[in-house]
Amino acid sequence: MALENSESSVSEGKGGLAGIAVSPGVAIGTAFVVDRQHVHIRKAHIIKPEVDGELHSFRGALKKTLEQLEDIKKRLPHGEHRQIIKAQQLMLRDRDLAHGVEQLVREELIGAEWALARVTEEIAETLRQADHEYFRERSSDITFLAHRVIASLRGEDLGTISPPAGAVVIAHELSPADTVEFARCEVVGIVTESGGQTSHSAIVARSMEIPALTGVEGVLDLVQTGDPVIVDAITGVVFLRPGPVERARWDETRDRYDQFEDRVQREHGLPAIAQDGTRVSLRANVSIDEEVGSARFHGAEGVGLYRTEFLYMDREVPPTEEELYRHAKGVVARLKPYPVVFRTFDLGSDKPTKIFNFAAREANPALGLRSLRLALRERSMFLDQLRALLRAAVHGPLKIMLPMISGMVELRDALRAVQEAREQLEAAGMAHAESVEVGIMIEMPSAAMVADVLAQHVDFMSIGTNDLIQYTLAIDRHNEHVAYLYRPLHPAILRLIKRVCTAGDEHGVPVSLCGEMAADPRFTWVLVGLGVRELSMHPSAIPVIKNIIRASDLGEMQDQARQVLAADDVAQAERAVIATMRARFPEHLQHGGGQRLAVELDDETQ
Amino acid sequence: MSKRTSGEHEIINDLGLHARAASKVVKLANEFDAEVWLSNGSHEVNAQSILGVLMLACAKGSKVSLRTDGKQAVPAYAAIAELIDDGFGEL
Repeated sequence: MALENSESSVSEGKGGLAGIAVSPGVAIGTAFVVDRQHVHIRKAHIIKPEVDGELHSFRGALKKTLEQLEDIKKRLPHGEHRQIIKAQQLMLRDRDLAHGVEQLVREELIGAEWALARVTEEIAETLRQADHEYFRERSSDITFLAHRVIASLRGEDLGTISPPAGAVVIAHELSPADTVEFARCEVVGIVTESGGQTSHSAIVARSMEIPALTGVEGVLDLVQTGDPVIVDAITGVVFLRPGPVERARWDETRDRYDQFEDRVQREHGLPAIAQDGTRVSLRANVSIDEEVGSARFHGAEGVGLYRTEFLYMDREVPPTEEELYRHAKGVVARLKPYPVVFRTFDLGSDKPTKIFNFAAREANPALGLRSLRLALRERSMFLDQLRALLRAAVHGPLKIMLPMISGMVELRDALRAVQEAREQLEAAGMAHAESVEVGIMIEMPSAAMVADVLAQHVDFMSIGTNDLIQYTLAIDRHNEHVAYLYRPLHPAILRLIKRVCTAGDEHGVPVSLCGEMAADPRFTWVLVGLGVRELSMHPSAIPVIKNIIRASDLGEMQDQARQVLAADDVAQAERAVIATMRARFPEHLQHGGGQRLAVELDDETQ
Repeated sequence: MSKRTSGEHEIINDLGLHARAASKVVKLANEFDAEVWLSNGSHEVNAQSILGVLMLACAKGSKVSLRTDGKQAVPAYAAIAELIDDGFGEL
């Protein structure tokens, strides 16, 4: 098993170096070291009569570099890489760059090489100070570009890197021009010392599907070209010079990973339709905007839970209606034609926001003034958000979801607020959607018990299992002393889910589920079998869950649901799902992540 | 049409004023007989220079001041303001 291998090697101190896995997979190959970062700048002074000649050489070098980039660009497929090279060409034609160098050469009488290094270093330094990772990483682009021009000035040609087949390229950082030949050369892995998720190495690696790690500090000091290397870009570790036993084990791990990935990824753009034609919608849970792209990439049919509270954190005044409107409009526009379910702000004294002055630390934040209770008290802030969402719904399918509903009294209050927001917009003559679906989260046992009543007043219900389990079993799962009691297949939880599905069925209200249970392959059969037809989860879990649904039949999923519902205790229910997984989806069990179920741990210790 | 030649605009696309977006600004700015300036509050740069625009390091949600000057200042302002408000065509 992949995870166990890497963990044991690190703990045994076999030379594993940690990094950030930016493009997943396992690579086994031979190190090919690229050392381009260390260009020694020649600091030459010149005399006045040499100025024109120096500038002439500089312009010639710029022209030659532009031509080289043009040549590289032609060998690239259309898309992101070409755009990157185009931007670099534009930088070389930048008049500020040429003027800056010319001025230094003329006024300080220094060589063009030194002048160029100074001008570009100033730009790179400014970028290194930027708050945002993306701009900090552009500083190395500028430096690479300068090195390329300097090579031309010296009459050298940096050319492109052509590693041998099966190479794991190891570098401080790679420029887009460096990586042109990687696909053709059959590079199997990439390891860099610097860089993060948005560095060029990361972008290139992902687009070429080459396993890659960035941020592996000091790797260049420890490795030489020709060394055998294992790149574990699942957990984020690189192993140098592994022994034959270790290597054989990793060969097997890699093959298994590749086969499984192939199978799962092949289907990721297809709908989640079971063998008998039952259709399940798989949507994404999203907390920050950056995850919207990931949702689309993993084949999500929209967002089943957009956690808006993150828009309220780390600030002292709440966002304005206009700000919330523009945000929601942007998200909806990007996911059209798929729906986005916005959950109204779910804040409490346990979530860091400076907007509210929570009088005192609540003894029991989970049971305190939070979420919808807070929204109903801070009504004008709630109305701001509701108006923003009703307006944004003009731009695409948007739904509003109310959290933390305990029963009809709160639901009526909240629906009145929605109605009031609508009337305010009408009075102000502002464009808003005529009908917007409004649903609720079922995350309290009380709501699950009266779901048949609530269902008559809402457009959809979404079971939030994280809180439902916490409130039903009275367990704070972040408390290590009781975490072992957090067991999703407890008969009480299964009966509550069943109850909500039945209520939804009777009243024609769709039931979805958006807790961590949705992302866990062990529970897919149970949930679909109980009647849930929409699962919302972390985007990266979607392909695996989809693969299970497409390989299954509703009948067998319902059988499994009946089986676990009939169980007297949680251990019996867990044994039933593990038996299914072992028989039908052994690899999914391995890659599914999540905590081990108690019965699995028992089996291992026996 | 508005006669504006200066104003503040919010960067709304995910990556901010990144290399490709900056390329679009520079290309457009060079199409007009006008000087085009962008500022992030602490630096003002000429929008005809991609290095300058990148150095503003404007992430999503930041505000830039746009200012134009010259014969075609009005159409240049309108065109670049539209490009920024439109999220550089990336939304």
